[in-house]
Amino acid sequence: MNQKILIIEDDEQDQKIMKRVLISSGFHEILFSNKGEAGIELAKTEKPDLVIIDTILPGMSGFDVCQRITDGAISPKPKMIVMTGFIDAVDAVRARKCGADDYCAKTSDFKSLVEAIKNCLNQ
Amino acid sequence: MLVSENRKILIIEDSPTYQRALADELVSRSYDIICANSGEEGLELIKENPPDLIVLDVMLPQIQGYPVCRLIKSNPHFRHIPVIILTLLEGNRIMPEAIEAGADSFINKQAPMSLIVRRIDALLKMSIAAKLFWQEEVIVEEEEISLAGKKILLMDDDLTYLQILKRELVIDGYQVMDVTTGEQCFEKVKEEMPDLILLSLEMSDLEGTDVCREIHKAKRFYSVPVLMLTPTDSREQIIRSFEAGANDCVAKTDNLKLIKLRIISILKRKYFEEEMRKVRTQLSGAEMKMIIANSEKEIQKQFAQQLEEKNKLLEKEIAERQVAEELSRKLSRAVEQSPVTVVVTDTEGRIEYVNPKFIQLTGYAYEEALGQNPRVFKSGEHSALFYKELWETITAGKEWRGEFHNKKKNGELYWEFASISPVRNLNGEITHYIAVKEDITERKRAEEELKRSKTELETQAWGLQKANDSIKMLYKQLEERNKELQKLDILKSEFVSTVSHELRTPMAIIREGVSQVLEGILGDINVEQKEFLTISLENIDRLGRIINDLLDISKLEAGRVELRREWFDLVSIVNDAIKNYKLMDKASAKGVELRTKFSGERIEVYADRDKLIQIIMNLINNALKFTEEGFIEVAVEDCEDRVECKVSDTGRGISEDDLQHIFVKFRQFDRKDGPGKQGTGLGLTICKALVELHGGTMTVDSKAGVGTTFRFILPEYSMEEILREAISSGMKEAEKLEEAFSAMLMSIDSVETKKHLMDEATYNEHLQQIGKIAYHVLRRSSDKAIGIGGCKLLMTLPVTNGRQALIVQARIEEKINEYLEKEALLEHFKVRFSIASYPSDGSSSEALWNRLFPGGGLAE
Repeated sequence: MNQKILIIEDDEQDQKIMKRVLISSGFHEILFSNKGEAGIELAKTEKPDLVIIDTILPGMSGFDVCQRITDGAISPKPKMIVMTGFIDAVDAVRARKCGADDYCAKTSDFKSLVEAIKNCLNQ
Repeated sequence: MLVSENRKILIIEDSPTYQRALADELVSRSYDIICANSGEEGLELIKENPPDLIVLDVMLPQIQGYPVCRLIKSNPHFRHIPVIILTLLEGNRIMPEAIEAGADSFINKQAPMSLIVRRIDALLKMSIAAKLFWQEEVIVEEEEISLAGKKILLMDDDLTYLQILKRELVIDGYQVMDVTTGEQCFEKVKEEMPDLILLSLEMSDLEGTDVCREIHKAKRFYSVPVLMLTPTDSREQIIRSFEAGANDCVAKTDNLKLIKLRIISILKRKYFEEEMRKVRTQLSGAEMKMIIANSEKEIQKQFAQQLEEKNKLLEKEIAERQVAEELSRKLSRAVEQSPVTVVVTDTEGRIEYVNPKFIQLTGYAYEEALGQNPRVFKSGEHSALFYKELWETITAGKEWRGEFHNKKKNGELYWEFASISPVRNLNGEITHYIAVKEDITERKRAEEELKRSKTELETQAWGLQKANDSIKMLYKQLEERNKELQKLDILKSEFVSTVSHELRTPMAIIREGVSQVLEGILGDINVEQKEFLTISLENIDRLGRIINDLLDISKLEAGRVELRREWFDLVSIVNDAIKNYKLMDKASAKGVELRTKFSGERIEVYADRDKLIQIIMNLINNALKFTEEGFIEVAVEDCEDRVECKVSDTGRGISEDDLQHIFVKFRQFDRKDGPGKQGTGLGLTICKALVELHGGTMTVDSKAGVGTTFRFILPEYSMEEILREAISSGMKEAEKLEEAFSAMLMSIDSVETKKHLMDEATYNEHLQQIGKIAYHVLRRSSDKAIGIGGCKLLMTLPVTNGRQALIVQARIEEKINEYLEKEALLEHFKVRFSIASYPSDGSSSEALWNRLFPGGGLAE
């Protein structure tokens, strides 16, 4: 599983937990970005296989980041998972329309995120 | 007169289609047609009515074409009738069998009708003379016809071909003359009067056709047959030959053998004609005239008949045409009013016609559309390949179907479903293309809309699914955490009750020690020591109360407190409590009046007696604690559906801020009031919880400096409701546990005659005692007893079947009898029992109820 994952998430505590959880799940190449714009720039050079985007970010929202990537900001287009702490069907639909491959709830143990990552990268 | 006039042709052909096609062609050229579908039928028809010519298909059912031909030609009566055989083989291949069978000519069935007709014309021309005598018995002796020595004139400017043909013919025994120009030819004809003339169609000077016409101009030579030699077997050359009056024609490119066979055929024919002519000259002039007159009359008759038939045919044709015109008008209306567009183009794709729907749809005027190529409608969305395939399909004569995205005059785009197919003329050539197109813009739009909606719906469904999954997962986590919390809560409660319990024993020992020292049992103590020990004892007691309250509250919170409801008089309970706890004294010592107020002499409630005492005591003690002057009133009022209890005081009251927290655990106010007034902070919380456990409510009213009123309400039940509730809840529990359950009704009958021997109070006292005895026999806490009006008692016994209930009954009876015997009342009271058990006596609470109260209700 030598896949590169970029996580756009502004909460440093969450970043730490995610890093630990993902490494223990066998993902080793993990990049972080605190902001949408910076994340997209990073992705342009790093070309990750998967981008995980938190819905609420300072500045550009997670949905906007998703839309920008769908519109071709990064080539080749990576897989995208929109992650949120506020579960809402309307948000899920919005994420899908912005081009997200999956939508998942941010839980304290990030179990569902790991599952979503595995599903996404296996397809 | 045309060659064809009144000529009768028999077509022997088994294919109705071909038969019909040929017949139509010949009828249009004024021939009379008889048709036969088989050889037999044909031969029959020939016998009945000999035709002028026979067209015979080579392939026939049963008897084939050749045998039929042979049969005709072997009959002296019919052998003069020319026979044309229709072959199936390509081109003018030699058909020796045909000639051998005696056929006069043969032609490929696939040849154009016009060619077949010309050959028929030519053959008939040769037999004109014979026609007049067909009725005569012209019998030619059966003899070998010798064609040797027949004179053949050969004309061609191609010397090589001329020499080859001449040598061949000479070998066959013909007398052959050859010429190379038309001039020479005329001279030779005049000189030699040949039996047959072979003319080359194409010559450097005069054409063969001109020579042929010239020769046949002269009456003398009219009967001299001409066989035209055409350079190829092209149709055009053949037609030209026949038009010039040639009797037959053959291509130079054909095999010489074929030419020779043709020559034989023509010479044979000529031979028969000459035979006929001989017969004619032999007949006398008068006979001849008669025959001619007869045949002319016959001909006239036939002519009139034909005329009539032709008239009829014409009338029929007119009628048919009218029908056709009507149909055409209808079709045209259909096209004009059609809801689909119709476009007709020529082979180049130029528009020749558009219907009104087209004009309406596209916005182009009729005149604008005419002459246009439909490519002006292109939206540019279809590829060149798309149009190429379209054209390839329709030019190949096939129908094309597909969808166009086209442009209207105003630039608006529209979708149409088109079917384009070629229109052919009678010769099968494509002359036009017709496009029938349906406007499917709406349908397309609806489809698109549907597709969009579908995608939208799918996305929505996806979103819902995802949200749902996430919520489920969170819920699961929450449940897990909840379980953990519940576990913790139980642990906490257990901890509290264990600790409280464990504290009691050492505390009792301490209390005992302290009180013994205080009482001076262990020696004298001075005033100072006594004071300290008194304070210690008070606090030990307080600690005891706290521990008890803690135990109570933890039980209440864990839902482990069960009410032992019974039917009792609240008035006496209140009075008893005040009496037993010496509350009057306590109050008067403080200079406070304690009074009671009841709405009736007896106020019956269905509740837990001990718990109610606890509540009332708590409230009175509370009031005493905070009231320094005035009064404390305990009031019980029986309202219709509830019992209202009030404990009011004229104490200092509670501030508004504190009032909000009055029932909260460990809330205490005015702590600084010193010893003796300190509570546990749990009393009111416990009271409220107990009232609520009874299904009631507790409220407080207070005004600082004026006083406080605690009010609690107990819901009142009818006796029947209580009993029914007791039975059905017991049964429900039993059903859940899959255990037995029994309800036992005890009735105490007093023997009427003896009742007056004692006063009412004594009587009631005894009833109460009997009830108590029964109640005390029940040993398990889950067993319950409800007194009904003093002389009845309903006992509910969980996990007890009918047999076990009887044992309980016996024990109760024993105890009651003991009591009655002791009181010498055995004769005054009679105790009866009835038992209803689940499931043996019924599986519904109604069934059990009916068993205990057969009347249905409680009424005695």
